[in-house]
Amino acid sequence: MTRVSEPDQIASYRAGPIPASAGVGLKAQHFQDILESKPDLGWFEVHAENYMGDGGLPHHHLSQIRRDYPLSVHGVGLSLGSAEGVSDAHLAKLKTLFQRYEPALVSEHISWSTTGGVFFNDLLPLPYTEECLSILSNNIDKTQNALGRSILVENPSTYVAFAQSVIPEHEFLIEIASRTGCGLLLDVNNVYVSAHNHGFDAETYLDAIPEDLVGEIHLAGHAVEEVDGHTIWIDDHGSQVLDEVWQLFARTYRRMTHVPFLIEWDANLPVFETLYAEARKAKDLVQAHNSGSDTRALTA
Amino acid sequence: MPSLHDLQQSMSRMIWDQDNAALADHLDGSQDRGAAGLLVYRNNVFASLTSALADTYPVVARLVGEDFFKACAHHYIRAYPTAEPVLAFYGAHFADFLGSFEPAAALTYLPDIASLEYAWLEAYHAADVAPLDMSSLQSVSPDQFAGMHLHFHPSTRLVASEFPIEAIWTANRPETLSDDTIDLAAGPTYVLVSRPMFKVDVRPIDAGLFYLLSGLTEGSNLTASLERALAHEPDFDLQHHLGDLFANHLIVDFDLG
Repeated sequence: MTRVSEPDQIASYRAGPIPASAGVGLKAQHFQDILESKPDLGWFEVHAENYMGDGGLPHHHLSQIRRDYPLSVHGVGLSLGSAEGVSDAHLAKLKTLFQRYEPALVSEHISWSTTGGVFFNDLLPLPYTEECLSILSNNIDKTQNALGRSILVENPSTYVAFAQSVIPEHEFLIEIASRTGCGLLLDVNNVYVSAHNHGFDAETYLDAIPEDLVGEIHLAGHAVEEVDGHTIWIDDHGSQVLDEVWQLFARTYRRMTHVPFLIEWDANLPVFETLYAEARKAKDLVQAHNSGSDTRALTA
Repeated sequence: MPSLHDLQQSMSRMIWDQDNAALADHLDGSQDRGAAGLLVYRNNVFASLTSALADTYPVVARLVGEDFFKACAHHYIRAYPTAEPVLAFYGAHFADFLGSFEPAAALTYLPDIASLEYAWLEAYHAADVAPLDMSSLQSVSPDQFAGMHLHFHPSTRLVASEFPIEAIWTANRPETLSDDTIDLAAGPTYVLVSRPMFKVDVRPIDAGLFYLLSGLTEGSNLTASLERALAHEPDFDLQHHLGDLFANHLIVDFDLG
């Protein structure tokens, strides 16, 4: 049996780091548009778990896109915050994907999804305690050792906070990075959502994150819903980025001009052009800042 | 103060049983606000797994309607908890589940439709393997031919049903929607699902070919498989069908066992 290999494609994958420019989350529904229109984007990001099948169209399309663009692999299933540890089998799949596509960035979340051997398919919240720091650090160490590289970890959006938490979230993130050597994926929308749900100041949080720890920025839309009489900000990635989140991004980006930024859109998926327009908006904002031609762009 | 493991177990009970008791004292803010936040997580878990199931079973979802499918999915989510973070194959047990799901019992063909949709999904994600050209068989002598084993493309799946599942499936796919009447008593259907390149091919086949392929894919040699085919279709034409299988890139290797 001859396995179809694509050595010519792999040899021509674009090497090097992800540029400090706009990328978008890659969705299967947009493959055709992207392959045909070759949009002027710096990079794409995929959810790792969507490319863990053996073959077929998903890999065929991703290989084609990977020839033209740098790639970031964003895991949503490793459950770095599980007290039971991370799954060896899942780490092995992540490593296979990593070897297949040579992504310039690999990231996961400060959250958990698995307990008692059951995977809940959601990014569940953690208490910010010494015990949790130690468990997360062990799981991140194990992941980085398995992959042979450092990863980025993303700040979560949360809907409850634990009374036992003794460390502010931004300090918790900095401590994780310091213990494990991992970098941070700073999701500005998540900071906004959590700040509203828990009553902390988003600007104070963002200003406290050292720029040299940040390897990527995420932007996405969120929803505001009434749940049993309580207003809850929900990170649903189902709409355009909201104005206040753009403003937080602008404020943060001033210190982080070396960092690639990404538009995520996972629910109520629009046509590619709409997603591309969001990425262009981010790019315009950043270009205006870099050229110094419009100081209002990043101070709005 | 509960350990992280205890806290995660309490979250698990909250998600499955809506039992907030073990968490209530450990959340910030009022109990009401805490409960509302937990509800968001609980809803996310059920909604995201329901959506994963609906992605795999669009035809089942269309046949039963959105509300029924959602209720069905919630029962499935409880009945088949998964440890697997790759959700592409999350619905692996859905056909079995539907077969014993009392509220769907009237739709007798539903489990077989689910089997067909799952076969489609497995074919879609199967490994990429280059096909074998029929000329490779030129080195096989006539006496070796009878004992030969054929190896099929990893995407190859066979589905049999006493109902016209291929017709039902086709009429309910978004690409090929149709209001044509389908006779449920039209007799058994045999379906070959494969993906030799990138497009999944679903085609109805005759009983003879179904049993030949069943034999071959289960590891029987050509003679034993042909006997099975002939038992169901006395005038089965082996040469014609073998040519067709090679032409459709379904055979990737052979051995003379």
